[in-house]
Amino acid sequence: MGDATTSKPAPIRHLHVGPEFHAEQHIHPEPTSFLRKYVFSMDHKVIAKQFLWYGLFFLAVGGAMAMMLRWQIAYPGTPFPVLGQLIWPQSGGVMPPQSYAAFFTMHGTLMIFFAITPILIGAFGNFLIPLMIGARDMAFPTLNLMSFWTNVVAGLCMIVSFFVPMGAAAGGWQSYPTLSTLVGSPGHGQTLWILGIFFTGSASIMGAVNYITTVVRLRAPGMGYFQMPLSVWGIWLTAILNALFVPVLAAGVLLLFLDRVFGSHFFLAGAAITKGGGDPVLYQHLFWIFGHPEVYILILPAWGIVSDLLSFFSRKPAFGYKATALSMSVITLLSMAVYGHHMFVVGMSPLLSQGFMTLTMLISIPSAVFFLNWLGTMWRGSIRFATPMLFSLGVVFVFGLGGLTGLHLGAISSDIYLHDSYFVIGHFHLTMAASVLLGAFAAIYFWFPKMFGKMMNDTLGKWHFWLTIIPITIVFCGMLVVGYGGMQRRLYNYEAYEFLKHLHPINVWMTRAALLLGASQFLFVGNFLSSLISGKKATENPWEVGTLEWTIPSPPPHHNYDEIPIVLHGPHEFNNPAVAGKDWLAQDEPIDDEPVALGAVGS
Amino acid sequence: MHHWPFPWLTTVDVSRDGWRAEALFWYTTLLCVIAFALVAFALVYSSWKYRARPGGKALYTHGTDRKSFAVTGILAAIVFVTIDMNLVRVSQVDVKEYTYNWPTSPDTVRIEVMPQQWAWNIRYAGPDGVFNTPDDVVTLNEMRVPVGRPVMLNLKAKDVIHSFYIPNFRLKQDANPGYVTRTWFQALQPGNFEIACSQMCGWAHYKMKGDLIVQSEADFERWMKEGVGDAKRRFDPADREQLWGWEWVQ
Repeated sequence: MGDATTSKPAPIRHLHVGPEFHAEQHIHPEPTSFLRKYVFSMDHKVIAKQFLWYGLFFLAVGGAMAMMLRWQIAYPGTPFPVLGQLIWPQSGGVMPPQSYAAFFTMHGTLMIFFAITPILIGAFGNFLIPLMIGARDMAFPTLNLMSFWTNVVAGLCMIVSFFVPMGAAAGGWQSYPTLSTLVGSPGHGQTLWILGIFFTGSASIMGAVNYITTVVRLRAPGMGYFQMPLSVWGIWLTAILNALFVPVLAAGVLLLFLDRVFGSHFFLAGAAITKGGGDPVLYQHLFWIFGHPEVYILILPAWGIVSDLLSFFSRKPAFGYKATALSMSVITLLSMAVYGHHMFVVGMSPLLSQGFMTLTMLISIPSAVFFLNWLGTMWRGSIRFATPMLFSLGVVFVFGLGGLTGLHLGAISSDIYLHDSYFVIGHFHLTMAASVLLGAFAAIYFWFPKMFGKMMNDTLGKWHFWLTIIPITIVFCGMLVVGYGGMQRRLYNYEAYEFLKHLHPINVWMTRAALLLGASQFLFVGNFLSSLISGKKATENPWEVGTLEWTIPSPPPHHNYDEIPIVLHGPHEFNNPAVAGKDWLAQDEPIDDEPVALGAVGS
Repeated sequence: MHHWPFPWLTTVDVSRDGWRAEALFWYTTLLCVIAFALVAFALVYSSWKYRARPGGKALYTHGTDRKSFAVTGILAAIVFVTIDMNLVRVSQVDVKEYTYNWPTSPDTVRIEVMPQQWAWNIRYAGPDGVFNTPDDVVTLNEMRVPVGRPVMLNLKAKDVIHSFYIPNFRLKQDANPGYVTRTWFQALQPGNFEIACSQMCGWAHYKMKGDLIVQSEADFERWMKEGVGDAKRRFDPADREQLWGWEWVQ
């Protein structure tokens, strides 16, 4: 498979520098007031940290809700320890069925839109894009600021919704009408949910426009698309999907808002309608036109980050770099044409169902390509098992499980049995929750030194890894098992059905694993906070890698680069035979006697 | 009868066509287990074999030579043809022979189902074969069907979306407000089974149970006859709510 004699270092191209390039990249003076520096900052690194804190806060809230949901499933009618008494004093600490519905709805909503999205897209998108492409900031810093603060408004809508009469939205994270209209959900909770989704969607669109523009316009000289780190590829493709499909969700929830507040009936039908009437299934189409790209919106940044980290810690160039970048792009395209597999039991036209099934299966081809490239990257490497690498390997493992179980759900006749069962929950938690969460942890452990200038504790990190990967696999694979056993999702008490009673022992073990998973996250919280305060000082390049952000101090200065770097190599030049004395090569580091030809300004 | 792995894990399948979902499920699972075993083996083996050692050096390759492209391409093609195309092929046979192959034989039992929060309204056309007439047999949360005859359902929800789920038949079909959806099944043995709702339909979703009673032909006909008598005696033309049925959709 190629060796040192056949693979030459990337040849140097002429590097053209456009006239607008330097004009756009002023060094702005660092703000001095507290408000401008830390609260309403326009610095992408500060906004990244704001998104990180914001996402971690909602991860904790959504995670705590998951613990309470699992508790109710395994031990129905038993008070949830400590917190139960505070939240449901009127029922002696036992979660009532109405709260169960609100909690699984808000667990999904908060985790997807307010934890994963802010951490991977908001925090790492913001932090990495300018640093990794050699820019001083985002293309539109003010829009960046607005994106974060719009998100805060959205988060407030969600939090406030818990305290209004009749409580938070309780129709599932998809909020299908007519359950989510006044027919099934009176009260302000569902309306606030719609507003929250609308605001966070607007924030995502602002971010997406900014990210796309930044990648297209602000790459340093020499940084072609195929010199970009794969992390930037993943985030960029995510931004493109966000810009295209979040507006569809926004349209869907806007119509739902009109139905609820202004008495229209886009989605109303059945006994509630006396004349005219709409179609509730229309909402499902709108939702899943967005919803299927959404799962790739969530996973693409993690795929990109893992592709980079596997190369970094194997000390080897990413195997088939271009093929990986193109596979991710093909998946991005395919994700727009498969959404109907979420609707096989809706009563859709058979022809549509069969078409969507076949298109869905096509996703296997690019997925297989980048899986093989991940394994190829490790092949004949010299692998260092630092904490970020362990988490990256964990992503490959759980995403393998999650991706493959998608096949059961992509085929019509097995999906008809598995639809709306715990098998679906297991599948999408393995792909969207476990993979993305482990990817986020990999990113945090890896870039923490660059963000905060301190190292995280590696031993604690490794404990955190093992105490996360083992229970997370048990919980979500257990869901696959009970799903095959026939258990539907969203049941307050599954033992109401005779045919599900025998699943009790499995459910109890899943809950135990979930509680362990929850408890072990305190290792992360402890490590994160103590490292922030008293962690070992990070050097400029503690991981010995070559992407641009590691050529500047940790943490980087306000304007990132004193001088915009000139990019000469790809992001993964490890063990390049032309380099002596070290096994890595910075992207802007000339090799001795290497010809560098900078094109004329204005060409 | 078919035999599947781990029979204790799931309900007994008493339907003519439930084996299709099971067969495809286990076929897919087998292929997935093989594929995942290979990935997991490669992951663990590479992690051990290529761990960093003093003096050890990684190979400098970008995996962009022709051989690497060929290996990756061929493996991806094998995955697509052996796994994906096979699943599509099997599933296409299933939908053609069963899922969308609506029963047309005269002995088909036709039932209209109107779920509401949180119960199942069930309607049989009665002797005239026409729905929404005084001889309709209407029950709540109880569906009776004869063994061995195809049963076709028309479903339409009253308030919110529900989903008709009969685990012992490996069958699920959404019922939407506003228009009719269809599904069908055939029981192979008598017995009492559960009808469950599988679409979130409000806080009491978990309690939305019904009974599916599969009887011998004679028992079913006897029950139907009694039911028709009761229906005619109880029919009140002034009660508009009673006429929730609709024109049959084949």
